Amino acid sequence: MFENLAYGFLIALKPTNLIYAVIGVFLGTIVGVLPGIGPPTTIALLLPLTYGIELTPAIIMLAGIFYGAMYGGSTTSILVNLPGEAASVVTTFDGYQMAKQGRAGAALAIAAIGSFVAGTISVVGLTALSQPLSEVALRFGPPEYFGLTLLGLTLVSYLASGSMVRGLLMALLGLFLGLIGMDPVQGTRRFTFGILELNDGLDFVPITMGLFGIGEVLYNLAVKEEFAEVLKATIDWGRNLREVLQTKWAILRGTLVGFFVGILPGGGAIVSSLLSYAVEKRVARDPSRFGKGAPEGVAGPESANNAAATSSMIPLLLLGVPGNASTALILAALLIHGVRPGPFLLQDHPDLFWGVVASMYIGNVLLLVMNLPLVNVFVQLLRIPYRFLAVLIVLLSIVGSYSVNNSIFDVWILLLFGILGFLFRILKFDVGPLIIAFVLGPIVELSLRQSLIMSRGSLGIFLIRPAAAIFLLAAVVILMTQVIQAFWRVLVKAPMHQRG
Amino acid sequence: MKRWIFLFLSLLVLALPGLSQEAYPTKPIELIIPFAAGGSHDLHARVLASVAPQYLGQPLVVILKPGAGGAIACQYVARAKGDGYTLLFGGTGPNTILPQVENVGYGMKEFTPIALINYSPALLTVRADAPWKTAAEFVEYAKNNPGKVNFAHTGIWGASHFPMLMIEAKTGAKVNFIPTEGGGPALLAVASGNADASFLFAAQVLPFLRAGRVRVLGVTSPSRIDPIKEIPTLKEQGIDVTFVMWRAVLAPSSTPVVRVKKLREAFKKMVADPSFKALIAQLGEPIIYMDGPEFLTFWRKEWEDVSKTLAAIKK
Repeated sequence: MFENLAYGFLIALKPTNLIYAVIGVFLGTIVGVLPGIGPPTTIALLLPLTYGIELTPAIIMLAGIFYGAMYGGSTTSILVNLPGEAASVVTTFDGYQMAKQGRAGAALAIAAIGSFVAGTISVVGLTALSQPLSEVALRFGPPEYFGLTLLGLTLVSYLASGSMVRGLLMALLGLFLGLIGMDPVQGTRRFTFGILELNDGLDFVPITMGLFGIGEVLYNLAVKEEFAEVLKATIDWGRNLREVLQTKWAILRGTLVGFFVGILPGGGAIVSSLLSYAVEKRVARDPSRFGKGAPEGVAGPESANNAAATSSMIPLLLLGVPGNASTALILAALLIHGVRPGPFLLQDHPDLFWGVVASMYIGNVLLLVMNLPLVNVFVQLLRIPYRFLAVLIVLLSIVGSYSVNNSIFDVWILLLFGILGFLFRILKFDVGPLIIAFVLGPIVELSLRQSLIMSRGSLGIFLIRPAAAIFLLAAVVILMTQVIQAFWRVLVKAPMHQRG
Repeated sequence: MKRWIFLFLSLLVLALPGLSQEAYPTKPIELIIPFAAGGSHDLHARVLASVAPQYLGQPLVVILKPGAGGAIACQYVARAKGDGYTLLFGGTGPNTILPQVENVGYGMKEFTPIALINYSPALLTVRADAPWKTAAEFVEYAKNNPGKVNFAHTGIWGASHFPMLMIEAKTGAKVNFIPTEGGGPALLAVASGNADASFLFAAQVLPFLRAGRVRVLGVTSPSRIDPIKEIPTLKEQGIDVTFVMWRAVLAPSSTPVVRVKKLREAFKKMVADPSFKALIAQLGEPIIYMDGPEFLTFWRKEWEDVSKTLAAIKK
């Protein structure tokens, strides 16, 4: 293993490869920071350019863009409640609240350092365990996905920061939105009203940019909130670092969750950050702090999406199965160069695999060095009067929504969800449960139906597959403790009103 | 008098380009891709775009409009102005199957074929420890044990689902269809034994075939295909089913004949370009060129095959 890694560093430290790593992580940071331009768009744009260069530097650069974007993605989530890229949606829940309390610097520092720790630990995991882990990913079938995502969905009950009823209502709305489109088994249309654009369902990007970015702009314009007075507090690095240290366990938990979910071809950075947030809230002593600026709510998910970005190289390179749009494009770059990733990649192209892995160690250090000083720079953005910032947010949201499918339809979806986001804010409905249900719902449905088709209708398939059984047992335990706690509160203690 | 002659001559000069040859193209041509970035259509289109300026005199701009299985892009081009500046990089799914199973508002007559670039067969892929050694054995088993074979496909009416429907319609076999999210998950389902079989594409299957994690029993193309000449076709094995996923440049049918002719000539030369050939070979795909009229015949036959299969299913 160490010879392999040393060999990898020999390749990654070649001047050309080093330059491409720097270009990759630099572009990644910018793309991450800019809302609307995600890593898939950027990689798609750069793909034709990689025809002309060698394969290893090309992949080093494209991978750099992908994991580099996970660093920067938190920036606008924290500062203006607009996710810089899809996997940073969760960061808005607590990051933006921290910024409002004058702790933007701390939140950004947590995101940068958490990303670094998660990225580095994951590369170590990649170095040591990629081969056996690719086997795990291969064995993870529909029953296991069902167990995992159902477990995630039961954690929704922890996600609502206000009243439980409102949280569950939003989760139901999220499930409903996830149903829109073509039924995966029969092919019948659900709630599409004959609109072709709805056949594939609603897209994640315009929905989240609408609910968070546009919704927040409308809300701020309506209630006239200003940031200027909270700026002074954010530059205090001593305080920022203390907050970072407090989140060390959240960072490690996030890394673990992210690394595991990233290995699964059906996982991905979005799912990992949502699950990590739910886990953080579950283990917290005082879950009520979440949604009001809990630093763990930034540390966990931001670490998770970085870990997932790194570990998603395993299914991509060793199985040839990309888990998300970005890795699908990296797969395309490999195919263009005549390399078919799969079980033989390690044997046939060790220079490629180990070169890319080693470049990720270097890339993570570069990203930390690049991102920490930027914290101060980005915080200054809040000095821009909100009326200008608002225009910029709306503009970037429109461009971002359009660019997903080059379709004006998605811009209308963005505006619709912008208005919905505004209404939810005013009525104090938390959008977190909606998002997690929207992402996980379709996976739960498809994997359940796939499992039952496989077993020809027998539910026994969930019991004879150990991993699936364990996930489902955990889900049942969580639900039961919730119910028991609720009864305890109602029957034993004096009835008291919940917050919200 | 002199003045009149001068005027006449200058008018003639002005009119000449219009008479002999109109100037086309004078601006970039858009090639609309009905699928997402990184897919095989996208990759082929980018290779085309890399050689196009030499032969068109203008850049070929690749624009992705994915959605509804490709129907969004086809509708867009079918409704576009037929001026030769908007072309479609069409395919079997959006141009032959979808119009026959769904109300998409376009069919064959909305498009004029410019050139077929190539097509890919689907590979009948089964798990490594499956009992069948040939496609014929597989079909025989699925016929005698209806619904026993777990067959993963990559989406209703898609390139993985449809050839199996054709086999069912032709032979009376019956499988248990499991929908998956795409080629990758379907391949993993077969390789891990969660499914018994699937129709998949070479780029992803070949590494798993080499590793002995799956076996391939046959290809759906009319004849054996580069670079997997060792795999027999279904037809050779007595199963009368052919199905390919083609990639062809189509223009809106309102495009003027002169421009269609110009485009056909340009794309014919592009396909023969050595750097184009080299890049396509690197993708692991063959070049199967057909000119516009030849492809139209091919497409019409495919359209009829699909419609027969659909009629058989509905019965």
